[in-house]
Amino acid sequence: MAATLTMAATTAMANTLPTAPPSVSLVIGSGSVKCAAAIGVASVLREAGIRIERVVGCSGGALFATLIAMGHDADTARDMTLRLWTKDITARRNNHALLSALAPKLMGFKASRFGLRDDRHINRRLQEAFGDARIEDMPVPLHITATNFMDGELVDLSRGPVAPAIRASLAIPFAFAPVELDGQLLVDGYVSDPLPLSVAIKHGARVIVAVGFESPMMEEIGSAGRFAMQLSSIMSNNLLRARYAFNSVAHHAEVITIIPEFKKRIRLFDTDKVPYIIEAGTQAAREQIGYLRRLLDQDRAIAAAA
Amino acid sequence: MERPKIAMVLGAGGLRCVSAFGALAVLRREGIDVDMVVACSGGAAVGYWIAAGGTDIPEGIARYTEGMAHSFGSLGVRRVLRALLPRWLGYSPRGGLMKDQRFNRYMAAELRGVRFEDLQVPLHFVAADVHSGEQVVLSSGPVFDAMRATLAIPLLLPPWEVDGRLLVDGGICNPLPVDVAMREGADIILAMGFEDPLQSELDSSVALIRQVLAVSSNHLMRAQFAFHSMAHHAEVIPVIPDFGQQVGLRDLHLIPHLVRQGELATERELPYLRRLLQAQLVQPAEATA
Repeated sequence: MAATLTMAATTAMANTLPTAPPSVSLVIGSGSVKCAAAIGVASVLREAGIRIERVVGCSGGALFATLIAMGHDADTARDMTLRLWTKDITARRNNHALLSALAPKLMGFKASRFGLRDDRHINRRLQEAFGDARIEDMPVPLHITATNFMDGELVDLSRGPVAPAIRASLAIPFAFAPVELDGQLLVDGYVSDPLPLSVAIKHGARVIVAVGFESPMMEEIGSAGRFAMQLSSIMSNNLLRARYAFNSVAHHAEVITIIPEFKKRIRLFDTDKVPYIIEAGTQAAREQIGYLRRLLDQDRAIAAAA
Repeated sequence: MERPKIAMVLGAGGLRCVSAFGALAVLRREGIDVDMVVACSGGAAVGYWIAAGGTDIPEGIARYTEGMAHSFGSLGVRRVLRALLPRWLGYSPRGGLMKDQRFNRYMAAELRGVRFEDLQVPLHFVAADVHSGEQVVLSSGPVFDAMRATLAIPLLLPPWEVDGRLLVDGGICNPLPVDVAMREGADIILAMGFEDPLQSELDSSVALIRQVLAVSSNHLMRAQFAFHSMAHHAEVIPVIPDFGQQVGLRDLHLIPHLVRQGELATERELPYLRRLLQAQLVQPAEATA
């Protein structure tokens, strides 16, 4: 009797499974404005009838992960990006920070306030764009990653207000002040993992679409600051590769990596190139979609047979 | 019956790398020979001493201490100004904040004419190309240039040119280069690595910089180590000494403590190493039987 019931349940499951839409987890790594390519990737997935079951974003990727989790279509997401990410948001220097770095005792150096760029503008923009929206209320489950600056560990923000979470994920050390959230001092997620596949894997992802970027190497190293940036790029590229390699070997999730190719050079504030970046993401995703479809069909056939 | 090939990999760790002498003392007591040394950054000086066939460990420590006393000059005023005012004074990535003339002279004299090819034990140093970010493994030619390159702590000591490439401390791309030992055919790898301690107080911009570097390089080391341990067949034995305190480059008075901790950390791994050596010795014999 029990056996028959189990059989019936299995058959019912097998019958329902293939009709459920195929789905993937989308992970968007750090890469500043280049992360806008994820908007193109998401629209290709949508066109192909592939559901995004979870989206994870790090640093610049956190912003676009949020736009995708909110369910915005490509045009809306593009327009929101163009309104949010403009040159003037970080144009102002934070002179107090500069002074406190030179005379820490006298000026009262505080790590939680230290950033060479004034961040009031960017905070206001994020507030305007996202208001009091909360991560746990998104139509698509959203995870934003940051780094706990005191113990160095990756922090997976999956609840709470979205605006400060994005701001924390974007807190490039030295440029922007860290963000205090729930008693933790948080900085940019790329410091602990530039492409946080582990978050999707931890939540049981079977198929992951990863949009990742290596930091470009500089052609000209014209100042100590640029030298330091070059070092940080070298470290984070190596971290990206090592983490990626480890996750590929250690876990059973299938990872499909989409690395858009940019023929033009893209700098931090080249927001006029956002439409071009999205198009590059669309192209790169189209090249992978055939393989992704086959993979998902196979996966569902296996699930159905079981 | 062939003996397994044993490699010692000495990771980046500044003065803490001197603890490798403690590890070496344990291996000597056990009659275990090292067949290859791979070193990065601070590990390079000890690595060279082993590869050159150094036998008297106390003497080795004394020479290391002397070398460290020479290694760090004062901050160069003009160098610091160049870093602060690149447009006025002209910046070059070949610069660093510290004067290195004295250090270079000392090292050049110590290593005059020595080439990798002449060493008793094969030696590999790991550096990074400043422009491409690639890892560069140095295993031939003059030891001096290679050692100076792998010791070029970013921003502090000027990078060093080897064969037309501008190189710095390999710690920024591979802080514990076990993969180099694997590629060179090691069967058993003693990997001596050092996590950078985190700052307890972030009360200055220097503390902030150190924290970012420590967090990034610890993550890098763990991620690479996890991958290499999993993907390759060589046995990797991590030897991670616990010093219980921050160790600065100038804390030469801590050297006896550091060496002792290296010894203790190696002793902890000894039972496993012994079992591994026995198993590896037995296996080929069984295969032929």
